Amino acid sequence: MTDSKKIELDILGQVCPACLLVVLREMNTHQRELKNGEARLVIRTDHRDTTRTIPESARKMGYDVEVRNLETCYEITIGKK
Amino acid sequence: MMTSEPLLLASGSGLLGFAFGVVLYRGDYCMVAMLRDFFLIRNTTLLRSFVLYFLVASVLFHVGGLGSLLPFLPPPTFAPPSLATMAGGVLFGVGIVLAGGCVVGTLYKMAGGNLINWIAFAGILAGSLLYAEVHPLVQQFSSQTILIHSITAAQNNSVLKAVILLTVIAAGLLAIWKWSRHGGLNVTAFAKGYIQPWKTAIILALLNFFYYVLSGTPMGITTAYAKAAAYLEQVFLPGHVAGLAYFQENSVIFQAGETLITGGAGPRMDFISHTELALMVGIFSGALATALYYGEFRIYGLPPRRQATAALAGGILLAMGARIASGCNVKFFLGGLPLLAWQAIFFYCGYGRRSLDRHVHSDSLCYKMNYDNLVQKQQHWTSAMIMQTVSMLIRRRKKFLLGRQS
Repeated sequence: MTDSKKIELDILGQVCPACLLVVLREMNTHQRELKNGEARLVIRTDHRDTTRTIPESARKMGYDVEVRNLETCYEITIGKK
Repeated sequence: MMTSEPLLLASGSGLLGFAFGVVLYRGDYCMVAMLRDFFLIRNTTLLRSFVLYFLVASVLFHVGGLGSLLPFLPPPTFAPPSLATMAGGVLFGVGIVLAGGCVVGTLYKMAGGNLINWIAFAGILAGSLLYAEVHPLVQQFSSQTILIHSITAAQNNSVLKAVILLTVIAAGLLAIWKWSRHGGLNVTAFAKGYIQPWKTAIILALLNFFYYVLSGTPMGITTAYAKAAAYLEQVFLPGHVAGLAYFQENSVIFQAGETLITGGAGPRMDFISHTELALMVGIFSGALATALYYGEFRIYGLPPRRQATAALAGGILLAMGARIASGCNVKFFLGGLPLLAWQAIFFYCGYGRRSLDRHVHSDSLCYKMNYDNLVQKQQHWTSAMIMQTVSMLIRRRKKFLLGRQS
């Protein structure tokens, strides 16, 4: 997923259900690029619950998801391998 | 086992609260998320863990009640249900969705440093003060609209009660067994120190049981918010506080051995300070310690104005709801449902329905975005329900007509 175009989304400080909805909207906007692997969506969040809901929903929609623990937040990458 | 010694009661409640806060934060056990997951993404994992909570708590509470561990069954903080219980549930349901957390959810999320939850907290305090102004009216309404003149289902019929409980427990066990066989109780989460919801549920049931043994009542927390708000208001308007009936009355009065125990929302040290207030401080400190431990405490500045307004309004509504129903989800779901309390059941009737309707609505309110797919999903679901009802009616009608023809 590393060589594709990076779409960044910063939702630090936002809580549910906004997090999931904002990410879903972003995924729908870039649906074509994400599906054919041209781009990947990189989300930064500090809302713990989001590390459960976003990966699950994205996988259900057929994407590959990676989650990394950064120092004070989490980074979720959605795309196609 | 119950104690009326203030120091022991306060330190015990504080410690249990601390553990509660740690577990809530690590397991991110949000009761609003339970409903949100179900209605937005059709995920029932968190809701399933609540079934487990219910099972463990009802066994502990009732077995404890048979022995001498729990002297009060039902506890003295519960009352017969009224229309106010349902109305409060509705307000509360709307409130928690807007605020992004319930009364304890707000506490443990505040510990992460999120300002939205601090705004919701301020809203809950404000809502409690607002309620104090209309308390006599609500109380009148409540006493005139009592729905059932008993506190729990089958209160005076122990055989019927045992039958109900055993049936519910058997059904719950069957469901848990089925889910666990397909791994349906575990979730994949990446948060630091995450505790699986089913483990969180069991720990919470144990903590609530210990609290019940210690204080003679299951956990409750909203009166502590009202008390904290009363202390604050007293600094600015002492005369006004002294004149409000709500702050003069005792909401809890009971006899424990030879001591008469009283507690209320007024700015004074009493049973509520030693239990609920200590619990509240404990939950916040436990969650804060955990957030600091994992290096997750951080303040990111103010949220978008729409979200902030929603959080404040949500806080006010949920506080009004909790006061009108005289309890919240902690008292009614964690304590009342396992005890088969009527108040819990009627509160749920109000709460459940409103939260469902509000979910999609509140999001468009907060962000003014067009979530086509989500709205569609909701519409599909609604239309599916309507279709099912219509098709059932049609089938009946057909049967009826055919029957007449032959």
